[in-house]
Amino acid sequence: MRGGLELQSAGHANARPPLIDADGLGKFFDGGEIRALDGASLSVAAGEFVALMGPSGSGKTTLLQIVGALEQPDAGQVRYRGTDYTELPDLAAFRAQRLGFVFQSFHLLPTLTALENVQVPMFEMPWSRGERAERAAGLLAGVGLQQRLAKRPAQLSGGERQRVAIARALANDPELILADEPTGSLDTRSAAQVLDLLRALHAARNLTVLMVTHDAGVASRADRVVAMRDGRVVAGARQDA
Amino acid sequence: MTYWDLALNNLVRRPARSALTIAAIAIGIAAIVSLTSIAWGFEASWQRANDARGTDLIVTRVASVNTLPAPFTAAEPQARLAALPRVAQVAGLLSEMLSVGDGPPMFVFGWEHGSFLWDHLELREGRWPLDGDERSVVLGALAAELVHAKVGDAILLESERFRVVGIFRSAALVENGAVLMSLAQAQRVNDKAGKVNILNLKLAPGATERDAEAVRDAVRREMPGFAAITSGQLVQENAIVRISKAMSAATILIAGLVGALGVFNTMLMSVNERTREIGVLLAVGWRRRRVVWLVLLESIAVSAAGGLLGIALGALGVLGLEQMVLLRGKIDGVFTPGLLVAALGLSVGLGAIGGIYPALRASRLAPNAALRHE
Repeated sequence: MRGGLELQSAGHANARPPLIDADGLGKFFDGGEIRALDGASLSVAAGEFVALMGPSGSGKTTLLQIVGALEQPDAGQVRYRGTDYTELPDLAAFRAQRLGFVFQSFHLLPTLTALENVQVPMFEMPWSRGERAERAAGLLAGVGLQQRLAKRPAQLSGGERQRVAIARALANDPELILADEPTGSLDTRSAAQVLDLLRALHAARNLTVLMVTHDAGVASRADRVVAMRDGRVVAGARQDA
Repeated sequence: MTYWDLALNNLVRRPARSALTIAAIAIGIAAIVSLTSIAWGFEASWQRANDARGTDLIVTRVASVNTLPAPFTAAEPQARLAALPRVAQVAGLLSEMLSVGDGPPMFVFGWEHGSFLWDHLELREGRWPLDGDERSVVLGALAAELVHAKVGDAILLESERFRVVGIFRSAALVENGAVLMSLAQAQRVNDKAGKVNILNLKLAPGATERDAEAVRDAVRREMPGFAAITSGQLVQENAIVRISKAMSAATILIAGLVGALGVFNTMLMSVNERTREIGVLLAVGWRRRRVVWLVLLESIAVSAAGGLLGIALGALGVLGLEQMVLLRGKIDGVFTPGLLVAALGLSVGLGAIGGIYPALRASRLAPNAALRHE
């Protein structure tokens, strides 16, 4: 596949270089009986907004987790800007500095305020307490929550919680946002607002977004839709596909 | 928000559990502080009493070195000791714990009348016993207060009436809280005619360490069954001191174990409950060692709070015990900066020991599995 990618790059001089290049990924459980991923390949260029779509059990979340270095593949490899994940010296630092996560169930820390939740990833950065707070307040203002800084998750609506989670994902100025069903727990209106926000951030910051969804309407908001079934990418694996 | 804020936030979210853990550690540390303070105070008080008497060496039964000084017949050893070179005076001492009237038991000391043992006492009222045969006692200032006696009153010792002829003060609490009489009277009232617990030796003026060593050698050589030791040795080897120190050590061990298990249990429960949150921390890029430090910081904070509370409770407990009628004049807690720092250090250590496994367990979670944790 590496050769194929090189051919593809050579053949398409104007194509953007891949930020993420996942190749032949496999993830197996129960001694190989269950194959969550079965040779899945995917390439995402820097600055793309990609939706990963498929039915439940198709492996899309597993693929997202492997791309997010939250899970190790049993087969295949993932490269970030050409560097294999196994060669990255510190996966935690990689996640902290390069990636931002948005989860379906928000995963905010319940005892912390919105302002504090956004600061959580910043502990890995060389910023002072004041810088962290200032930056978090700016990010929350950027997602329209400047009036809700001191609220805890339980005091926020679902849409607001997801916006806090998006602000947290942006905490360390990442290149890639990995969103796992970001609208899955939201009503239609909130879901639309969150998608608008992701699109706006993608455009304003030139962010790369890889979003898992099973909703065709949500997927349609992406630049490209990658379809998965039975642990394989069946359509849209590449920018030029 | 600081790292500390995050740790304290996690402790405050379960106030009842954190408070119970703090209370458990506080009780353990209070027990350690109070028992150690009492043990040290007991040792220091006896040491002060022995030092104040001006005793250079103490002769007792060999078997008594490591236990309570057993009474022995004094006449022959006293004569032999008096004949040794550089020995200026030999004074017998008999001590017993007796009930005074209807009051609590007290130390009753019988000291050889006219000996150097009496020299350090300060007579506050009345007079000293006229001779060894007078059925009289002098009371330490605290003892007089405890038995509500004044000069001229009579007190009952073992059903025998003694006239209080004086009240004195001593630098040692143990003497302030004691009844003092002549050795002859003490031997009679205790039915131990001619017997003493120890013989106090005062060496001649100008005697050196070598002289003291020579006396000790002579006792070892010429008086089988007897040992000459310093007052410090007597106190350190004293059975009561040793028992109180052993109890203190046992308390440290048990309280330490219970405290560490308490912190362990609390932190393990806390980590289990927060598995998903720890997964979030790991997912957003926290290094594993940062998770370890967060959990350790929480366990150390909870145990340090317990330690501080325990030190305060321990000190208050000893002060309370010192005021109890039954114990007044018998315990004199010693609180040194070293003891307080050690107690706080122990509590912090318990926090670290109790927190290390939960912290490592938290840090070893696979972020993805932790995020899925229900």
